[in-house]
Amino acid sequence: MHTITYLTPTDWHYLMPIITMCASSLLALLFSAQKGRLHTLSFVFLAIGSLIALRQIYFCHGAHSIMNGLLQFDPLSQRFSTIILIALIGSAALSWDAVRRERLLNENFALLGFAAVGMMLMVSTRDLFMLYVGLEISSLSIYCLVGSSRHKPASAEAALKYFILGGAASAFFLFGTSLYYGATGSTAFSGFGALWENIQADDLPLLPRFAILFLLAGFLFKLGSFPLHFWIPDVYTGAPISVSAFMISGVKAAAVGALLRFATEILGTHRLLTGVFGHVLALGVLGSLLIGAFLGLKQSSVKRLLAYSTIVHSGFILLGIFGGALATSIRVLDVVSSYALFYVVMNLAAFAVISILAKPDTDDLQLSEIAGLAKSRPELAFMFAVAMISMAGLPQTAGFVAKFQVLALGIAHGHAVLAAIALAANVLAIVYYLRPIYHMYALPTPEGAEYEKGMPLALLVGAVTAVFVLVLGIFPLWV
Amino acid sequence: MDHLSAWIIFAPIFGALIVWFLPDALARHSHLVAAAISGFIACVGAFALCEFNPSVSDLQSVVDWPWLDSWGVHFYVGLDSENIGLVAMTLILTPLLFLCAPILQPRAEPSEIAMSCGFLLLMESGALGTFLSQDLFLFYVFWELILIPAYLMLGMYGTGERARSGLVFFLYTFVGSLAMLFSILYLMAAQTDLTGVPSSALSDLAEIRMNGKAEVWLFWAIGLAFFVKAPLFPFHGWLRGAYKDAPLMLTIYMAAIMSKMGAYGIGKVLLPLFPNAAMQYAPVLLWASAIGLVYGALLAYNQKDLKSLLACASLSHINALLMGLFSLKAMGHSAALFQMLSHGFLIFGLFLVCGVLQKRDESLAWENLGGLAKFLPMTAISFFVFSLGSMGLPGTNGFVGEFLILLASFDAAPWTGVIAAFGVVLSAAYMLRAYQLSMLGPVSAHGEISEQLGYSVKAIFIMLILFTIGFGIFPQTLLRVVGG
Repeated sequence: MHTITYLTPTDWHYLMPIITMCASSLLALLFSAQKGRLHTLSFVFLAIGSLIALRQIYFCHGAHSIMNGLLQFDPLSQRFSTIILIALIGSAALSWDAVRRERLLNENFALLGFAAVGMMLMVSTRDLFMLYVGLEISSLSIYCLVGSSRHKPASAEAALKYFILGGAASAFFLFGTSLYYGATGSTAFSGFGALWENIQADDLPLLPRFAILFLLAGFLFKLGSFPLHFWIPDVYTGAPISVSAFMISGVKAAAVGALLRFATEILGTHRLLTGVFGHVLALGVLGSLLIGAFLGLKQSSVKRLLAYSTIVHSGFILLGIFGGALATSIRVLDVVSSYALFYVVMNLAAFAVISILAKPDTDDLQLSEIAGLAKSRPELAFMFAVAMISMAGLPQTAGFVAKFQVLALGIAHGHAVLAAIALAANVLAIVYYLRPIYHMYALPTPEGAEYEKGMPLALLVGAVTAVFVLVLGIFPLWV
Repeated sequence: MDHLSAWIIFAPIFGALIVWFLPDALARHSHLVAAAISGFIACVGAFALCEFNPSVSDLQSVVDWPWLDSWGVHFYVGLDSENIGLVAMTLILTPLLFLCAPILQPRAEPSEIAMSCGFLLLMESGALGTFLSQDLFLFYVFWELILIPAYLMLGMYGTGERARSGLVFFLYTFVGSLAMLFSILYLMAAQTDLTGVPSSALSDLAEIRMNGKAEVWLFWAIGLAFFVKAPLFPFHGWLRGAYKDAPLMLTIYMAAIMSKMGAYGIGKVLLPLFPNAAMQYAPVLLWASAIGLVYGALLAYNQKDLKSLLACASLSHINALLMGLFSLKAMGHSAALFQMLSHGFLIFGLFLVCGVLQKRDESLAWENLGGLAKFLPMTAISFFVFSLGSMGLPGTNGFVGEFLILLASFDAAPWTGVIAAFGVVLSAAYMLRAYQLSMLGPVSAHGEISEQLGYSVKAIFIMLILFTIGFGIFPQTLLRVVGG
């Protein structure tokens, strides 16, 4: 006989951010059905809804579990939901101009909102099924968004690639879930501890071992780390700029949050970070760092360069999760969540500049096109330079704080060699971070260069995020 | 007056912002504005410096603000006998550098000069922060701070192969810095393991005793950063390109101040934190710096223009003062600190002469200079005095430092002292050659040139001459304060 579980008022209090986002996305969808100036209303509803949701998250204190871990609201979910909403607001602002010029779908804002809802669900759950639901909600929205630049064939190609590969990754994840259910009899994270409290990684039976491996594969795909990183350059380059921005920041943050919870609860708590899982994660770290560093060196397209830089960052974040999952969860949460936040802010700054400067027909920016930007538009050059310097991890920017924390965590927990390799990869990566800076400042402006005027929202996003990159370097949050 | 140390570190950053956003009316004189700002900072700093009591061995003018609490990082700065000379030198040289900007970069547009002055103010902040910092993490932050402004200045306003030189300089320095970051994080982790309380203050980190192998690795990792910056002999590959292709203002900064950051780091961080590894490897490093001294001298003799010659001369002199540090003798240490100051002012004067001679020929090649002493009397006298100081003629401050360093290295490893003495002879050779080729001899085909130095440049020349000779005759006044 089933008992009916009613939601208590406390449950509703914690659920409000997600509900608010759903409601605002639906309102955004409503107002996207017609042409005309209503897309502005769509954006406004989404933005207001996000701000309200942010405020609601701010007033959720402590940890609260609904239906025994099906939905879990704790500092991890609060921080990552905040990061996702910041990514949402930034990307929506960047896309407003493209929607206005009818280069993107009118439903763009609604889809962004739904994707954000899915992501918030991903980080707020301790159950694999709910994780999958969140994953799919966000993924399906993003598949549409990636292909929404209708005049560009590259966009459709990117969407198809992402859909097929992402579908395969989701299938891996679902298969892992079913194996997990077969092994533990439940899809909740807590089910694992009930059966294998003190087991060693090598003594784990085949069924749960494969379950975890398949689940890790799904996570690593979404995170964009080696060995499942190959979709990133093409998809990020083909997608419209604001969607790339959203994917680079929001999807990554959600994947990081979900993986962090998975890693700490299942792998870390039960000391399974050695053995095959440790090797997989270490391989992910190493591969991402080296591949992202080496392959980025030859790029002339700024979007592609940022795609490879994101692979390097995936390596760093994975090092933080891998290094810290065994540690007291407070420290690894601080390190990884602050990394995710600073990473989102840096990328929004870079993408804001790209969205202002990109030529509409290619939706991309070549390095040759930003030559001499410091003289023609010094504020854009400064924003982009700040973003690049921060991504390189130079003091005193947010990126440096993020990187040094991850490295310190790795070194403190015995992964000194990985940390050293991460630093070596950083040296390589800085070569391609310096290149745009050199082009902007040291080269003369090519003749006849003109840039689009009048993208105030993008400029605002760029300015605010660039300032925050510098300020967060000195007064970091969540550290 | 309590937070003076912190104030003089941050003030140049605000100064840089002011210089960058000057209204158009003042933008033509941005170098004067920058000079005024840095001069003001120097005067304020002088208050703190005058209060300094050399007989007290504790830190003075201490500022200790918690910053990144969970990692134990504090904004912990203070003056002691090791850094006071360098802080004073940085504070004094920066306004002088700005005053000489029209001479040093005659063909630059006002906007370029404004950008350069802003960058140099940022770099001054980085240098002061490095010298004053007593917390290793904070040291690293300020150490890295100068990289991007230097790279941008080189790339934007340099000559020749500036892209390549800039990248080589950046990568060399960055590799060293990241090795240092690794060591710092490792030390912080070890410190947390040891005491349970995270901290990155130098005094706390010095208490850690680690096993031999780890100490050796960390020694070389942190050392790499300093050896590249100074630069010590095998790690000098970036120097010639960077000094030659950089705009003259940046070259002066790099030679006078940036190289001292590396040397200071060796004395302050490397040798105290890793005493066993230091004792083990100091002989090797002593030999490396001795070889560097001679190598730089031979290289300088073979250069075809004045700027490259001075760059190699600087390499030779820095290796000389590193010898003092690696001798692991107290006398050598004090001598090195003294020599850092004397070299800083001397090389400033020498490159200033370069700036004056630039009017004749931008590339400063020997065939275009010659017989200029007739036309540039004051410059010629100053050049001669600075050359004597570089050579280490008794009566100049160069001699005092050099002599003490020779004594210390004889004490540590006699043959290195012999080589160093040989290097001193070589320094006479190349400096006199430089003087002869540029100032004496037949006038080159370019003909006459008029000496139009402003009052400020003349005053600076006179001041530097007095400094060179004055501290040559009365070194005790400086030695008492510097190096304790």
